[in-house]
Amino acid sequence: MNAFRLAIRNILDKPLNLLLSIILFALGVGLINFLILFNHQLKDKFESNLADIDLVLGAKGSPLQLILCNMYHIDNPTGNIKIGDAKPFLNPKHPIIASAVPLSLGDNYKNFRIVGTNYGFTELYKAKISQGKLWEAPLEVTIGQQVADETNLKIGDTFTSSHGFTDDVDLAHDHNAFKVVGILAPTGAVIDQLIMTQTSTIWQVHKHEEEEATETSAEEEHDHAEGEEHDHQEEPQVQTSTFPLGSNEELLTHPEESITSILVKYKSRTSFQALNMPRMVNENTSLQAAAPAYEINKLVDMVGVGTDGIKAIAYLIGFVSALSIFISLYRAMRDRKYELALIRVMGGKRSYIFNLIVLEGFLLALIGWTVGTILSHVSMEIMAGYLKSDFRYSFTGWIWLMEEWFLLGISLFIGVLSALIPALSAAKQDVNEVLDKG
Amino acid sequence: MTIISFEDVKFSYQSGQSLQFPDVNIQKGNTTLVLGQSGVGKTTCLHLMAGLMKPKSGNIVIIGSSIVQMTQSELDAFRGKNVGVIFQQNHFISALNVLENIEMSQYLSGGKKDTIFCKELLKRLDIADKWNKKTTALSQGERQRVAIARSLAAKPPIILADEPTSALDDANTTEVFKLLNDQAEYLGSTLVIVTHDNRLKDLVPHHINLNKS
Repeated sequence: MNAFRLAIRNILDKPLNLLLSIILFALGVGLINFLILFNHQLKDKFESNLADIDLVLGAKGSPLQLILCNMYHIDNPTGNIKIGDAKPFLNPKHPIIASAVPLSLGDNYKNFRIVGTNYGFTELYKAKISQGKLWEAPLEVTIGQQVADETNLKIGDTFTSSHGFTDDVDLAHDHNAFKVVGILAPTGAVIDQLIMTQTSTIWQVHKHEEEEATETSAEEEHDHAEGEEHDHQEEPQVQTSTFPLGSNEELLTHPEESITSILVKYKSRTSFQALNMPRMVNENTSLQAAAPAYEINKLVDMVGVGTDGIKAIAYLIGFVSALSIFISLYRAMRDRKYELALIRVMGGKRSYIFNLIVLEGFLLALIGWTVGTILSHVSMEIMAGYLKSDFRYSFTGWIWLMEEWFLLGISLFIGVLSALIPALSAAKQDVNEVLDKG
Repeated sequence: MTIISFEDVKFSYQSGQSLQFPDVNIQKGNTTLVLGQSGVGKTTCLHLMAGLMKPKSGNIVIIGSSIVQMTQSELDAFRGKNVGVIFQQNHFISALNVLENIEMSQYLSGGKKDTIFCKELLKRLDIADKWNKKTTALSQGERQRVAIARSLAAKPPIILADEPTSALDDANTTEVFKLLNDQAEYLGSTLVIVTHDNRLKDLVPHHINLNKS
């Protein structure tokens, strides 16, 4: 029986020792691997949602909230801003801004946010149409893939929105039915879970609310509808604007209307003016400017304290499991010293004994790593279920990362390393001395 | 034909105590007793014959080869091929069953695995039905028989036994000796028993006496 098969038989011979070593090792590997899987996907999510946006402009408040609300769509808006106040930033001739995409939030359908914006928004996330077309008229919407999957909305379907960010029948805007005209191909970014329409749709929906409440004349509505293609039930509007549909120039003709935020991309990120712009905005205007990369780094740093703690625990378990392999092999070596001496008497070389014990360490580590890796993927998948239902974040346990191979290498190295001392002392043991005492 | 010879062999322990062994000439096929009181170096003598230890001076020739010049790994291989050893205490590889323990001896000696021969040995030793038992599940007597089978499995020309009968009563002493002797004869191996058990004297014609020097 060669050393490999004998090593397998030896570790199987002590099932409780085997179990203990493997549980410890699997826990260490599992925890570290889980962190690798989770952090990798979290970073991916954050980064794909950064979408090269350099700056978010919105109402004053918490900069992190502004980012979380307008880029990740997981927090409430800090408030609204008047287009009149944001005029310079929406101006296409702004010297340092390459693109400025307006966002208007405030409604949802089955918890999916409805975003009033322009086509620049889909360009930010490089989203392509998979069915139908982009919105063209008020109340026409194009929906993200995840929205389509989970609400079963299809092209031509209509729905009414609900005010706010949680689905609530009492807050339904039941006068205005949205119509689905297109579905976007999946991007993996936040746009998959959004419903997009033009900015004026949001104004129109909320204007109706106000009208009902105040019973004012239709005058205001005509105001807001001015310059828009618009198949409203009232008298058809003459299109007075010559600006392209949804362009910022068009928005600028409604200085009294509100939007939630503006997503800004600089012409040059490193220019002096660009670097100064957030401070300039925050000090000199009624708006707030927040840089996503900075805020997200801050957030990750804060959350990172938690993951660092878990990491430290994982390394501690890793160390303890290496120690447990060492102790279990060392004890096994002492318990079996007569066996090992016998192997020598029967003609086995020192190298056979050495290989035998090193292989046992190797096998323990290999089994521990396998169990731990399976454990981490399964628990990632289970957690993905919760993350999905709570945050609509699509994590998965069924991915394989390069880092996991490194973890395998490190695991096997630890297994062999902790077997080294027992293996050497077993190989060097004096046969006749052991047998004399037997 | 001389199968084991000692020429002016001196051995010294780590404690500094040294032993002078008488010159030994054991002929092929002659079952031989190495006798002596406790402490005269019987086990040391056996370890020297098995190549488990090296003498301080002198020469030991086993089957025509001087083993004092061999390296450790040459010795391991030489012993595995040529010498079967039965120790006072019977130790086995606990993870393996009876048959696997016996086959292990064949593997380690560098020979081919021969399951049929191993099973035949077990049958001759009357423990054929125990082949798949763990050695820990056996009685003391059964363990000794497995140890005998193991020492024979690689068909070595020499079998060394260390006090195989010291713990047995008279009836069992005769039986175990006969078992050992019969199997050695069957394989054409030369049996050397190291013992202080005087009961064996009458059964074995060739004696070597170790005395305190």
